[in-house]
Order: sequence, then structure tokens, then C-alpha cells
Amino acid sequence: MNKEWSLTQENFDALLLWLDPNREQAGQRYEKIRLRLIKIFTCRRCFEPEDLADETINRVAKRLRDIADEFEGDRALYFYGVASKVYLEYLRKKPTPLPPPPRQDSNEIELEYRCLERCMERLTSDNRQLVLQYYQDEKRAKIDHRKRLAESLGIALNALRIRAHRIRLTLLECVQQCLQEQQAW
Amino acid sequence: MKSQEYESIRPYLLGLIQQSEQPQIEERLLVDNEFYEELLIAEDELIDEYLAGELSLLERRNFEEHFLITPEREQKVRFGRALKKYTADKARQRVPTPQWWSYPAAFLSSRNAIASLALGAAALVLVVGLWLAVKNPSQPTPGGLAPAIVTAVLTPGMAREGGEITRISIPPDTNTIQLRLALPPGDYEKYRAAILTSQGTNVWTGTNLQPERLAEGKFIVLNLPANILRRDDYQAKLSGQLANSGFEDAATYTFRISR
Repeated sequence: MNKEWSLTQENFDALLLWLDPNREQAGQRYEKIRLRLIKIFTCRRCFEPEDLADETINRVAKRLRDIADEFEGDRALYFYGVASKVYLEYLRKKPTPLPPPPRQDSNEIELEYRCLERCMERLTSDNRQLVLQYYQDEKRAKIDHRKRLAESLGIALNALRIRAHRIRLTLLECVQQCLQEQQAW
Repeated sequence: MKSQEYESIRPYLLGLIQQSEQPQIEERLLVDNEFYEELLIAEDELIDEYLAGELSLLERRNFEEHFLITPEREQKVRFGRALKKYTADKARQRVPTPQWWSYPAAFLSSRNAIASLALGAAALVLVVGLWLAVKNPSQPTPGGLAPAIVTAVLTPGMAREGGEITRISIPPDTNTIQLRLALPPGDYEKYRAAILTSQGTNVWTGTNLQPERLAEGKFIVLNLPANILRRDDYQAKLSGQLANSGFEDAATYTFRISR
């Protein structure tokens, strides 16, 4: 993979401008594309998805002068085409798998649990109740229980899934933040 | 019920789709916000199913070898495990410790079936105490000793999921242990049950079992000879019969026998 070319501020500004004339919206668009490229490389079982996403973005920025005027359609799809080539090059390198992460010891498990308790307390009462009810039970009991929960909230089951997922995401971010703070002590 | 999107995303996450199908999914991930969020939800749900032991062997293998390859996903699994334990702990804490005489009333007055089941779990200790040592001199058994029965109500759930194991104390002259397995929501006409020791040895199997409606709800009632259960931890595995005569896992109960 050719990594000699590096992204300058000028290239980056041009890339943002190509994504959206509004600088703030362009920044959001850039972040969105980068996150999704990382996800795609992860789903393709690449061990360094962030590096591959950045390499993809660099290559798009490098070619921008040639394609900016001619490319039509959703610009995120141009990134996808470049990402596919980056992926093929990655495969040719026969990457070595990352070593398995160390197992959590009991102190780390306890710490994460305490962080989760703290983060649950920061949720609104309604959201806390939703989490407690949504994530209880397993198998058939879980399915039936979630149906009843959706009915009681007057929303569709899929809307309930999305709501629970968004709260879970908030909790995950809160727990990660808490763990970082605890480890910094 | 999962969304239709989930059915296409799940095999993608597990690396179980044809290569030719990848671009269609990945292009949508880049341009369709809802589809991308659906993928994030599917990741959470896969993690929960993995932690609950609900994935098939093939899915489990692919989850570990294909899905679980980045520190970010490892972190999500650890978080999922903590959340699972937390919700189980809270479910137990919500259950008041009932006096034994209040159990049926509390059970019946609960508006929420799940809460009722949880209540049943707390009441378990009490029902274990309902040792019906029936020694009726007016109706002696052939051996001259009337049967002694220990009855226990079990609610679904595994002890390793954070719940305390249900303890059943067996007095020396007990003949029969009656296990009342509280049924989770979901109807099957017939069930089969297996009792497994901590080593996984099957010590008892019951087939063609039909639910019984008792005052506290629907149960599968098992009457086990007391002498087959020694001091050990056990699992009662309940399977429901499907329309095609096959079976699927319905619930698992854990208990500890002490003598």
C-alpha cells in the first residue's frame, strides 16, 4: 500500500468542500463516512480497520482534483469504490491476526459493573425502567415480554428496539468514559 | 420479532453471506442512516444472544472467529455481560421477600407476568420450606410409612447469570420431590423435561408433559423419586414440542439439593 502521500490541510479542506459547501455539515459527513468505512473493514474481518479507513480517505483526497468536477451521485459511494481496492491490497499483504485481548480480571469486571451502576443512575427514570425491562429474560420469554412492553408504551416493537439501542449506546459511552477516569486515578 | 433488515444484516455480521452480496449491503451502510443504525442494533442483539447461549454452533463459531476481532467489539461484549448481570440483579432486588402466606396473593395481584415470575423466584425459598411431610396415620402406605413430599417452585434462569441458585433441602424420609416449573410466556401443547447433574449426566427424563394451571399460574409439574437426587447442583431443561413434532428449548431452571 502506498502510504507515502500524506493528507495536507489544503487537501483536507478541499475534501470537506467536495463533501458539502457548509463546513460544519461537511465535517459531520466526513465523520459519518469514516465511521462507516471502519465498520465495513471490521465486518470484512480486517484487523486494523481505522488505518484502512484513513488510507481510503487519503486516496480519495489525493484524486480529488481529477474527479471532483466529473463525479455524480452520492459521494460516499466513491469512497466505497476506493475502499474496495484498499481492501484487496490489504488481503495481498496477508495480515497477521492481532493477539487475543487479555481476559478481564475480577477487579476489572467489578469496576465496569460499578461504572454501569453509576451510569444507570444518570439516566432518566423512564429510560432506566425501559433498560431494566427490555433487557430482562431470554428466548421466548424475552420476545413476549418485549411485545408487551412495546404495547404498554404504545409504540411498535421496532421503535422499541431503536429506543433501547440508543439508550444502550449512551450507557456504553458513559461506561467507557467512567472506566477511563477510574484508570487515570 | 426482528425487523426484516435484521435478517440480511445478521449473516453479514457473522461472515455468512456470499461475497457477491457484500456490495449491496455495504453501499447501503454508507448512504442509508437507518440501515446503518439497524446494523448497530443487530450487533447488540447478536452479542446478547451470544452471551445467553442462544446462537447455533455455526453462528457461535463465526461470532468468535469473524465477529469478535476488534477491541471495540470485545468492549461491547464485556459491556453486554455487565448489563446482563445488572438487569438480572435489579430484577431480583425488585422482588420483595415475601412471607410465605403472602406469596399466592402477591403472585396473583401482580399485573406484570414477568414480575410475577420474579416474585416466584423469591418465593421459592419459601415454597422449598413447604415440606409436606404427609404422615397420615389413617392412610398408611404399604410400607407402613406415609409418603413425604418436598415441593419447590422453580422459575426459569441460570444461576451463572447472576441469580442465586435455588436451594432445596431434603429431609431424610422424603419419598418424592415435586418440582413445579413456572412456565415462561409462550405456548406449547406438550413439553419434555430432563434433569441433569452438575456434570451433565441425565438422571431423569419426562415426556408428553402438559401444563397445569395452578392458582399461581401455569406450571409443568414433575414428581421425581427423591432417591435419584443426591447432594449436587442440577439443571431442569424444559423443551417445547413444535408443530412438526420437533422440540426447541423453552426454559432452563437451576437448583441445588442439600440433605
